[in-house]
Amino acid sequence: MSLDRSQLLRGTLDAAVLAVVAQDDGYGYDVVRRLRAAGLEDVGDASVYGTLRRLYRGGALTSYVQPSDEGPHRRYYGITEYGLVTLAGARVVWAEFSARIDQLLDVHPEVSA
Amino acid sequence: MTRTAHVPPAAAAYLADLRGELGDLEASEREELLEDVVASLVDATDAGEQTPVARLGTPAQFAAELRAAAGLRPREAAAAPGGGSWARLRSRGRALLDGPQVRSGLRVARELAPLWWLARAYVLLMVAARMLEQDFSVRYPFLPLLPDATGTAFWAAVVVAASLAAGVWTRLRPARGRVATAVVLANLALLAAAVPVAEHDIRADAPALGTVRVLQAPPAGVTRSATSGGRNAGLTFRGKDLRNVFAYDRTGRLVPDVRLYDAFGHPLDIPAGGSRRRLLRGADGRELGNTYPIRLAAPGTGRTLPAGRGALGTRISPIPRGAALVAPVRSGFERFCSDNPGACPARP
Repeated sequence: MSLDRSQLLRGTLDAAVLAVVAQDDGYGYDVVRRLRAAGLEDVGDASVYGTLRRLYRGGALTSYVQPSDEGPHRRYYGITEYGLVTLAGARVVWAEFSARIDQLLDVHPEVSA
Repeated sequence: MTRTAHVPPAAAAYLADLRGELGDLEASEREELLEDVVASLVDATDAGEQTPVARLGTPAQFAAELRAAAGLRPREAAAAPGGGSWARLRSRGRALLDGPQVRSGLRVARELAPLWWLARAYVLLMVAARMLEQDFSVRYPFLPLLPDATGTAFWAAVVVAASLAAGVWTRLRPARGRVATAVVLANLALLAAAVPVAEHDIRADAPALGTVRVLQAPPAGVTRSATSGGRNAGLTFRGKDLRNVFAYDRTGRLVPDVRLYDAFGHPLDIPAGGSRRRLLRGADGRELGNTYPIRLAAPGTGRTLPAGRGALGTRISPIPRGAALVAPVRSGFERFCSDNPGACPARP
């Protein structure tokens, strides 16, 4: 297949992570699991952790530590105002972009006909 | 700091390696990154999932992916903030080692490793033999004697088994950290030790100087004379006993194994050298004591030492072609005049 899922994922992971965290705050591995549950099975742990850190540094995410009695404490990430704006922008870009690609690839022939 | 009290051992080892991979990052940044990983490892272990490496890849792969996603510099670039030439050289070398040819070459080398394990055992045996000043087989000079053939077979079996076991062991449990460094250093030392061993073997392979050649039987008359005359008292020159004789050919080359006889066919022997003397035997098995230069065997080896300093210390120059001169014969009168300068008339 000429379309590489991991390449596509690389370009869209920021938006996917923002969307998952926007639904509910989560720690790193929790975000990984929710992405996988949503159908992105091949998403890598390290990619998600790196993305979370980058978005956090960029101000799209906030973070706080939740102490745990049983296991190690967990660093939770939540979305910021700036993150919501970024996510909204990503939604627009994706809707427009995916529509163009759909059209080019003739995914819905009955619509374009 | 990351609390690792609740982390299972496999996960703790993985975290330690990962911490090393991220060693160039600021401590707070590194520890916050690791917090995510700790939670992931603990959750995965609780859920009875695969080992950390099977699930996350090696620490190096994980760290590389993490850096890429987090927008951090790769390790090599981080190691050379000022463009240090050593760091640049190292990253270039690493890139070179990652090349496809090198990789396939390393794969082949890995498959051939048992050969290297055998070679390692041989070098070890040779080094031990040389350090303990053991002898080497006369017939097969590349084989040490520890202290004899049986001992050699025993020690060879022991060392080969140990080397193979060590090889298999490091295959199954790759050494890490200081142990890995020690292994590399030990192998380098063995490689260095292989140089004198190879030199020994190459020299042993060359035409053996000490091999006793069987010469033609001396002429019948000579044998008779030798038998009847036996060993004489030795050769003397200007009243001193000679210890050796060196014969050179016209071009100035030392001639080996010259056999000297007097006018009556008596062999001119020098009874020197004792039991260490290399003696040639005639076809009839009789020792030939009149071959020169006399050469001695190195103690315990059966190998013959070079002919000694003697005449070898001086340079024997070749005789030019056509240089043979017939000395002018002086008459008795001329000799008288030169001996008694005042008695003869002065020449014009």
